Amino acid sequence: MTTSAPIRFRVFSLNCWGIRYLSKNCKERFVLIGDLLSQEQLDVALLQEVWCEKDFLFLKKKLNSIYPYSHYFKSGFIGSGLAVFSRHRIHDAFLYRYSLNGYPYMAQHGDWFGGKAVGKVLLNISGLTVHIFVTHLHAEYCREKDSYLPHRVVQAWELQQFIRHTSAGADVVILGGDLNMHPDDLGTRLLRNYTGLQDSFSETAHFDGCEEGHTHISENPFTNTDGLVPFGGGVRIDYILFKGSGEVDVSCESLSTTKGPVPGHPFPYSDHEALTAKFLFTPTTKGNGYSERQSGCVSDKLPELVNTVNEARTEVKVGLHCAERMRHTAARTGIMGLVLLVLELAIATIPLFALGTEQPFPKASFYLLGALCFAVLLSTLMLYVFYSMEVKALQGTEDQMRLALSSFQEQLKESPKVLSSDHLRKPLDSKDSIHF
Amino acid sequence: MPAERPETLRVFSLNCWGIRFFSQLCTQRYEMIGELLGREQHDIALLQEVWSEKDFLFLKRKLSSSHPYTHYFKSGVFGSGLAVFSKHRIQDALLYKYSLNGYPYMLHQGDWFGGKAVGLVIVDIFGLKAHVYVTHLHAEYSRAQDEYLPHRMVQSWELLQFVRHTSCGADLVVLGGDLNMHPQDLGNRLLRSHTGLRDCYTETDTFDGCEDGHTLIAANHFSKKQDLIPFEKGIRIDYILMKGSQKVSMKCESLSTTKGPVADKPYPYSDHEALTAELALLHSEDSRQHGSSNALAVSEQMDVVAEARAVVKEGLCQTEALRDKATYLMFSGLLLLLLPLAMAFLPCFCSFSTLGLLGAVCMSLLLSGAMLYLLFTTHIKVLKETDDQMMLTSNDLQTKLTGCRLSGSPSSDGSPELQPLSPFKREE
Repeated sequence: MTTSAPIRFRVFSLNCWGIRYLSKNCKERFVLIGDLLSQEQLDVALLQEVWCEKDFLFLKKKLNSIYPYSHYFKSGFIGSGLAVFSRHRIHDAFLYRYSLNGYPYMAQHGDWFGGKAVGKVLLNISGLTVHIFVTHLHAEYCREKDSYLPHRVVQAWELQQFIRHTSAGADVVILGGDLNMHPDDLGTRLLRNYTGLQDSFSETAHFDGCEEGHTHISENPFTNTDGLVPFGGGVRIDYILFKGSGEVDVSCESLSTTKGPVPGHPFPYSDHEALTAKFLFTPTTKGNGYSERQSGCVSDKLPELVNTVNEARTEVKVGLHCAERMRHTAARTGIMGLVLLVLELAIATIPLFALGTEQPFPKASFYLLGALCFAVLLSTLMLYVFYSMEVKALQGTEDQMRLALSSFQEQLKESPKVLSSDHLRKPLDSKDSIHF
Repeated sequence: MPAERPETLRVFSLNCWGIRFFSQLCTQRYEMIGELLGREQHDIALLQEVWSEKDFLFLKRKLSSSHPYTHYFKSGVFGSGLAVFSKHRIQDALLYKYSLNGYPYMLHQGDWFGGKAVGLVIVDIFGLKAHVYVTHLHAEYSRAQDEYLPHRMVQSWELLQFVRHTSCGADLVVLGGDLNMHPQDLGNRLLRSHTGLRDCYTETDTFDGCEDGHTLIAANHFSKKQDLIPFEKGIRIDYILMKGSQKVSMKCESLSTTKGPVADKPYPYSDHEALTAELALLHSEDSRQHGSSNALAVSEQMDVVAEARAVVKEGLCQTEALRDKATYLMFSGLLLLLLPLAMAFLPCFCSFSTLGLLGAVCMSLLLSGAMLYLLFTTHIKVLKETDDQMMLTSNDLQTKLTGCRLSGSPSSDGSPELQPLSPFKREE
């Protein structure tokens, strides 16, 4: 019982920077965010970095009348930080936690404790199945020497896998969140090309917001401007992506961002800018649908996709090499610690056998050294376990990428033959589409 | 339109018990497994507990001509132990690692290190899109006092969610693996009722194997008798489940298991028995008789979710108690730390080394308490998330049930008025 009238759908996305006791004016900003969401006529609000459940519950109470349905995705130690507020009933929710997400000893970065993930909610809008994804990827702390790039590439890979595999039955797919990647970064290209999701900033008919759609700008008093100088004062790392299907055509009518300071308020909503996209869902008649055009687009993009996946695979291999090296170092250090401990114990037994010695046993140094060896052993053991898991995750991702590449190669090989078997198009039109 | 001649799909599943240096006769048994698979030429073989990649590579080499397409799912520290060998092309693969899987300090049990997961491979079989899942759930060490029941419940929930969310475009769905649950256990009922997957053992007309389809039996001299208590003869904990679609109807023509000792061989393949199912695939427009998940009563689904939620809530209580213990450990470490500090200022009747020792003990208490606190907090988050998701599904089912009753038709197949409320299903 699908409606045939077009439907307008407004999506909001914001990284709330809700790190209690650390981010500035946290409580007050959540009040502002709550006010904003109440005023705007949104269908769905996708929030990231809502680290504290109290803040989520505050918003839930505040927005209960306008957004009666919500879901807070819990993951990791303090995360996942992802929350969804919806005007429409949430029929189901599912979470996929990323296999790699930084290192536990990088406490100052904190990503590892956040349990970053992609959350999915299922909505039904007038008979249309709408799959909405919200996510937050690992932060980029140093672009020149990005030690987390392999982690982010793996996250981008798992994100696209999750979206592709769970949205087969969807009429509309929307992804919102903080990808921590620039529009032409490897992970973003991988995500867009493989899923077919479109960037609302590139596709929108009407845009009002920061220059070039930046979502992390120097005009915002909360941001660290030094990092943004090489990028002309701003970067675009938050997105709302969308895709239709054979049943529904989706277009982005307008996209807007906040622009740093908010008029009438003492400070902005967050260190990131908020995105608001207005979509139009147009149900199509069968045979005319998006999927026909889309499959043509995907097949045209196949060589590009092969290159992107190869690029991604290289990054993963680099990460793998690094992780294996770290694991080897941990093992070596651990063995050294063990050897030292054994040596020390051996030396400690000498006074027992030495006759006539009057030197007091150096208890202090004995215990100290012993404690040190033990600590080294224990910590290197835990690091070894951690790096082993990292190695496995990277190898697993590389295996999946290899599988994908061989699938692409098969498709590329088969494509000329399929032209003749495409019964929906006349042979003369076959040049326009390669249908799988 | 007349039904076409059915094609047959032969699926194999075995928990290989491949714990190098621990499980008996590991290398020799892999030789036997390789021979069996090479000889039987199943369409798809789903293996669990292939912990060592070397063993997987050995099998891959051995079966390269009969099963050219393979996938080995890597997860955790030495897992996931899941491997797929297929005659048909594997187009894609995806892994979902379970959020809860035991505790790292239970070294002798080792589940935590195994990174248990469910692996999905998408296989092109006779032009059909088959979604094949292989999995292995947390072991049950004591049925009377199963402290891992909440973990297995969460794993069952995540498994069913994963299957539900990823099998929309599938023509046929097959799930094989070691669920470590008896057929009527809550997790199993939850899985089957919410995915619509059918148990080959109960569906088949032709069965040849152990009594009651047991897959861990006393007659197998590798199996530990205490694992079977109180069931003397055996238990059924390995399964092959299946589901068709509107395009394809599936029927289990036959199911067989090994029966412990293998003819002409000195020992069995593993401590578990192997399952082999022959599934008939019917390409048919008219496949109503083998209905999909809609055929199951919505209220039955609601009941089983409510039961599962109770288990998860209990697990939550238990874990919060554990976290409290971890907090006490941390505080006792902190308090004890004050002791040597105090003693350092008081007239010294304790040698420096004893103080040092005390300090070291305190630090280790503090650190271990902190790490346990971290671990249990993560577990609490997972349990709460699972509970939230179950609640959403429960509410959704409640709405469906109300819709059912209002429309007057208690039918539970895909009647049109239910369609707007079932976001998973696409009208063909």
